[in-house]
This record gives sequence, structure tokens and C-alpha cells, in this order.
Amino acid sequence: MAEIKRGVQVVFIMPDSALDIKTIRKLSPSAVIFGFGRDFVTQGGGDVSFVASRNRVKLVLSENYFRRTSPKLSAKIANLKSVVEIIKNRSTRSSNE
Amino acid sequence: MLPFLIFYFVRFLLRLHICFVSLFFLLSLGVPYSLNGEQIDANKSELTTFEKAELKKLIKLDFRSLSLVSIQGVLGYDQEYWRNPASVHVIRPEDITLFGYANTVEALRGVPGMHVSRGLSYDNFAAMRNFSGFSPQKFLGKIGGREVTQLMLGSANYSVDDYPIAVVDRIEIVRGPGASIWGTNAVNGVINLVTKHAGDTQGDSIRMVLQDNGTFMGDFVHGGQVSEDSFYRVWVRNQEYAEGTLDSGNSARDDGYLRKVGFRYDKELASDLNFYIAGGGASRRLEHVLDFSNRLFYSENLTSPLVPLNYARQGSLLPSFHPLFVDPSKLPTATSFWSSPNGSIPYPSLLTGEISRFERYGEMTNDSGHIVSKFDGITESDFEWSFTSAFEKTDINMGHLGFEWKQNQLDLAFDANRPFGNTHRVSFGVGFRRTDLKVKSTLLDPFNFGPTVDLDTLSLSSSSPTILQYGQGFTEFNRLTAYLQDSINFSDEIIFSIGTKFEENDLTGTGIQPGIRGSWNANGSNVFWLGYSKAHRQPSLRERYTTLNPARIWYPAGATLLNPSAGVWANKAFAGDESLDREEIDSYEIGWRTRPNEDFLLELSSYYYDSKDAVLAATSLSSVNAYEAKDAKSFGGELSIDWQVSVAWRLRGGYSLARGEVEGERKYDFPEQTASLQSSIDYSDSLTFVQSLFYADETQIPSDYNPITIPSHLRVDLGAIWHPSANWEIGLFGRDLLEPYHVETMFPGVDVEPARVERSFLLTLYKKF
Repeated sequence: MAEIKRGVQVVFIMPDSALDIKTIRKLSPSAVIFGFGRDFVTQGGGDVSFVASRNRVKLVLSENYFRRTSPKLSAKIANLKSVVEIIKNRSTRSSNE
Repeated sequence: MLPFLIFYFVRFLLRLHICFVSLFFLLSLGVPYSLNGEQIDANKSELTTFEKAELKKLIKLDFRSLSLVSIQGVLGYDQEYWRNPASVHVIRPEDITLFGYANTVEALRGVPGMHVSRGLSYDNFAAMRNFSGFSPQKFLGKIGGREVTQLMLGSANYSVDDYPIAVVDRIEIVRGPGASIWGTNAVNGVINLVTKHAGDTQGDSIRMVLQDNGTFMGDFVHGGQVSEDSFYRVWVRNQEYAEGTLDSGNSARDDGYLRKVGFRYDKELASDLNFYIAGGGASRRLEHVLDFSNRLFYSENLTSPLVPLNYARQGSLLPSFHPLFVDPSKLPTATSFWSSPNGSIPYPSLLTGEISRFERYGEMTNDSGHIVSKFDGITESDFEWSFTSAFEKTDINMGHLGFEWKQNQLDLAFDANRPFGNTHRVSFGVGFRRTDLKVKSTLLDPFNFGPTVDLDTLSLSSSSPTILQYGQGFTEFNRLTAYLQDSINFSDEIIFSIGTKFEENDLTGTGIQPGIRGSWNANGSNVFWLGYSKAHRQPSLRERYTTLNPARIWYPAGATLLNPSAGVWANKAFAGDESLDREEIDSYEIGWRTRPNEDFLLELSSYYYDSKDAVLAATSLSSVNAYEAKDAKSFGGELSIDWQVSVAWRLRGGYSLARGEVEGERKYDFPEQTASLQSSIDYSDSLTFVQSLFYADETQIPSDYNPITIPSHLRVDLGAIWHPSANWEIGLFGRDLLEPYHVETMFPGVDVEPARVERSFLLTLYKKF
């Protein structure tokens, strides 16, 4: 906990983690939070999640992620329609719909 | 930020243990901690050594490439290759440029179990394991999504079908038959060259290779983006071959050129629905020789043994009552040809030990074009499918033989796979191929002897037959294939695959090619595998439907001093054998793959092949057919290592033993032992030194009059590659440095002698994308 308070850039939350997204945001507001499953972004407020779909690994990204100043993600990633789903404003609408 | 995503993407892809990966990644970025509520200890990692090595490989990929990697795949050859129950070798484009190979065929030289030999300046011959012969290579070649093994000769021309290195994604070499997926002609194995998505070749790339003798190859590739989800690339290649030298010191007359163009367009039509269309064209102009030295014979009564007729002593040099006198009025139009031998060559069976050398050069042209398109997609239920169509138009003229064929070929294929439960993944597919041919034979002037007796029918024809005669009734061929395979995960350690391919084709009828393979991941660092396959190879059209008329026999037929014109020329024909059925092979393979640590890989594989009706070229003038079907057996194995000795030093090596018998007689048309050792040392961030050693045992090239032994040879290559910037690579290479020259191979029955493979120096310039 103390380490997080000092500031981290990336946090990867495992499915069995004792900490949740809100806690980490509070401790380190600038960290990018990774996790698993679509709900991690659409419901939980995470930044990036990995999902297994159609025999491939895909990314679910929060649109907010592109508005960050640091760390920042290239907008080119959004071109990979087959791989990336972008969630707008933490709603369930995706850019591919 | 992209490296972050790629890393986690890989981690998830591999379903690796999160503690290790998080630590690995975060430490590499200088971030002190990942977070799962506990302090992380790397030593607790449960990653196996194979997985660690896989992680290193995947993490170098970009997002697009990663997105194409299946989570769970068919037990094929494209993913988690270390678990595959087959002997697989993968060549990456950086391996090709690092060692100064001009093209992809040359890069096969470092693959254990493969024998690459060089004939003339424009061709490298690739053979795999055993009984590959010369023209019939007996493995399946796929390049850029299409099958390139030609029906006429049963071989592929990798020089013509080659691609610029900048667009090559990888070359997969599967040793041994992979019949249940790949199907017919994958008798000794499969070579599958996969090209990159157009989105991965954006910008400009140039590669130039200049050899000290003047041989030159230049590629230019340009890629661009049409819209946010569609990309294209176009490319051109020019290759100029300088003239080489034959073993005797004579000029090889093998200079010429190859010019190629190509394109590819990729588009994501929707999420998980992709499309690409690609095409290309090639034009090659060369000369090739035909050996006429042992074409003329004398026979007293057409059934007596044939005596080589040394034509240089004929005509006015002999009196008309001499038994070997040939009536000048029966000489071919091109009399001057037969009056001007080019010296002499060895003829061991004659008392004189030599015979006059007659050879004729003719233009060999190759013009071809193709277009390939592919749709692929995945449904919500993980049903993964693709539909591929390809059309190819080829015009090959072997002017030295007077033989030309034009071919139109259409391929359609549907492939799919889907999981059933947690343990099964079933793959299946259907394919159709249609081939239309136009074959034309031309009588060469030196072989135009006018009226000729057919020795089989003893009838007199008004004209001489052509050297190669194709049965014109066989110009349309259809092939229908289907396959079904189930990959079964019994546990995390044991995988089995069982399947079969069905085939119906106009050449060999109906056939079934079953296969079963399994692998056991014993402890994460040792994988054992075994397999059985039944594979077929269909005879080439040349083997089956072409009659070879290589000899003319002078028969005095009662000619006397007063009546010298009574003599006639007769023809000795070797028919193609329509009774040649498909070549069948039962193959048994076993292998061990071990990775004691992530930097060291050792693979050992062994095989036993039992071939029925293996098609082999006849080499005796007493043979009835040009090709004969014989039973054969072969066994052998390969040992290969890949060792990252230190951060800067990588060693790769291999040893192969291949021994074969045809009807009990040991054969040496393939080197029994080959070995290679390749080293690359990064002297600094911008300078790399490479060293290569290649060894091949002695081989024997059959001939109807002068079998040639190719001595064993050791080749040493050295090179230095300078990277002045991230995208530029400049290399200087010395090849075959141990000796001024050696010989490696030749076309039996066509070439008079092998060409020299000379010591050479290459300068390469490569601007990557």
C-alpha cells in the first residue's frame, strides 16, 4: 500500500486481488489499471482489460485512456478493429457497434 | 505506452502465471511493484522454460501479429510449436538477412534434414531427408498461400516464386509427412512461406545484394494505408545472374535475368472478418544446355547391343564399307553440329575411356502470373474459417529440350476449425484444383534425322520424333480433397491428433491418407512426441505421360558398298509409365525436444520411411520406361540446437543422418550426413559478426554413361553486419572461403557436367520498414 501511495504508473489487478479499482485510484490516481474481462472496464471503471473472444486475445479500452497525458496510448491502436474494443465514457457502447 | 499493452497482451495470451510476468515486465520498466496484494518473488514463477522462451519471442511482436495468434489451435504447426508432435523448423526474415542469404531457398541450407545444393548461377536445389532425387523434390511447397509444386515436373521453382525478404513473415519447415492436414505430395515434408499483412509493411524498404562476379539482386517494397482498416503494398525485384564456370573450366553460359512484381491489399471488412488479395508476375530468361554426347548409337540388327557412335569419325573419315559408316545423305540438317564436338568427356565403359562432347544450348524462359484472395473470420462460437482462391498462369519453354507448356491453374479451398468442449478442436476443409495444360514439343535441328524407324513397332516414320513427347490426351486434371482432424487435449501434458485426408484426382484416383500424432509434455522442459502418417505423392506429368526419345540408332539394314543408302536411323523411346500409381509412404517418427533453460533448445528426431512404388528415374538405356516404380526404405534423424550462449552470442547447429535403400541397394543421391553450425556475435549495438559452417557427405549423380561423384565438402562463410541506424543494415559476406571452388549438383541427363560453386563475396544493403 505504501508503495502505491508513493506513485506507480501501471497496476495489474489479478482476479483474486484483495484490492479493487476504486482503492487503487484513490491511492494512485495517475496509474493505468489493467485487469481481466469486459466488465472490468465497462462496469468496474478499469482502464484496460483483456478478454478471450473468438479464439483470440482482445483488448477492451476505456475511451478515457486516450485522454490521459501520461502514460498515454497511441490512437493507432484503435485502428485494429478486430483486436480492440473502445468503451465510451464507461458505458457499454463500443466503437465497433 | 504500447510496450505495456503488448506485454500484458502476451501474458494473457500465454495464460502465464501472473506473478512472474508482472515482475518481469515491471522490473524491465523500472517500476518497482506490481500489485496483487502480496510481495512478488520471481523465484516462485511457475513458467516452464519453454514458456519463458515463448514469452521472449511473442513480446517482440507488434499488436497486429499478436492479434493473429490463436489461444487454442489446431494441432498444426503455427503455434506453440514446441508442443507439436512433429519436427518443425521456423526461419524468420532476420535469419535470412543476418547470414547474407540472397533468397529464401539459400536460407534452407541451415535447416537440419535439408540439403541445399547449387547447380548453375540461378538455381539452388532443395531436398529434404531422402529419395528426393533431383527434379522431383517430393515435398510440398506453399508460398504466399498457394501451392507452388508444379504438376508437370513435380517440383517447385523457388527462385521464381520467391518473395522479397521484407514481406516474408516466416518460413515453416515441417520435416516428415503432414498428410492429414497438408495432403498429397507432402511425402518428405512441407515448406510453407507465409507473407506479412500489408499493414505490417508500411513505408519503403529496399534490399540490394551485389556479388563480386556481378550477380545482382534488388528489391523495392512500398506500403501504404488506404483507410483506417485497409492497407496495400507493391513491390518489384530485379535479379541479374552473372555467368559462371563449369567444373572443366568451360563457360557455364548461365547468365540471365529474373524480374518480378507483386502486390497485396488487406482490409478488415468487419470485426473478425478479414480479406486480402495478392498477386504477382515473374519473367525469367536464361540459357540451358542439353547433353548430346551419348545420343547416337550403332546397332547391327536393332536387337544387338548398342555401340556408342562417335560421330566425329563418321562421314568422309570412314569408307562406305566400314561397319560404322553412316550414309551422309541420312545426316540431319544440322550436320555442322555433329561435325564440331566441343572436346571430349569421360566415358568409362569404352576402351578409349572418353567420347566426343556434343552439347547444345537453348533458351529457357519462364513467364508466370498469379492472383490469390482470402477471406477469413471467426464466429462467436469460435468457429474459425477461411476461404482461399488462387489462379495461376504459367508459360515455361525449355528451349534446350524443345518442350513448352502453358498452364492455367485454379485452386479453391475452404478450411475451418472449432472447439468441441474443453478437450477437442476439430479442423476440416475441402479443396478443389483444376489444371489445364497446353503442351508443345519442337524437334531440334541437330536431332532431325528425317525418316526414323520406331524400335517398338519396327515401322518407319517419315520424320524424327521430338526429344520429349507429351500424350496430348492428358491436359485437363481435376483434384478434389477433404480432410478431417481432431486435436485432443487429454491433459495439460498430453495432446493427441488423429485425422485423415481424402483425395480424388484424375491422376491417381481415390486415396486416403490417415495420420496420428501425440506429444507428452513431461515436465515443462522436456517434450516427447511420436507420429505415424500414411502419405501419397502423385507422379508428375513428366513421369507419367511424357515419352523420352533421347537416342538415335544407326542401323545399316543391308547397306553395302554399292548401296550405302539402305541404312536407316531408328529411335529408342522411353515411355512415361501410365501404370505408375501413386507413391505411398508409411512413416514412423519419434522425437524429443528439451529446453533445460530458456536459452538452450535441443531437438532430436528420428524417422523410418517405408515407400511403396517410389518413382525413380531410370538410368540405363536398357530400361523400358523413363521412370520406374520401386519399393524403398529409408531411415535417419536430425539433431538441432539453438543456444543463446550470452546476451551477445547465439549458436545454432544441426546434424542429419539419412540412409536409404532401393530394393535392398543402398543409394547415395542424398548425402548421408549433413551438418551445420551458425554463430552470430553482437560485437556492439551496431556491429554483428556471423560465421557459418556447412558440411555435406559425398553424393552420386546417376548418368547413363558417366555417373558423377560429388565429393564431400565443407563450406565456411563469414560476415559482418553494420547497423548504422535502426532501419538500415549493411553487410559484407565471404562465402565458400575454404577453397576456390567445389561442385554440388547438376541435372542428370541434361547437363554435361556440374558447375563450380566458387568462393564469392557479397555486399548487402537493406533498409527495413
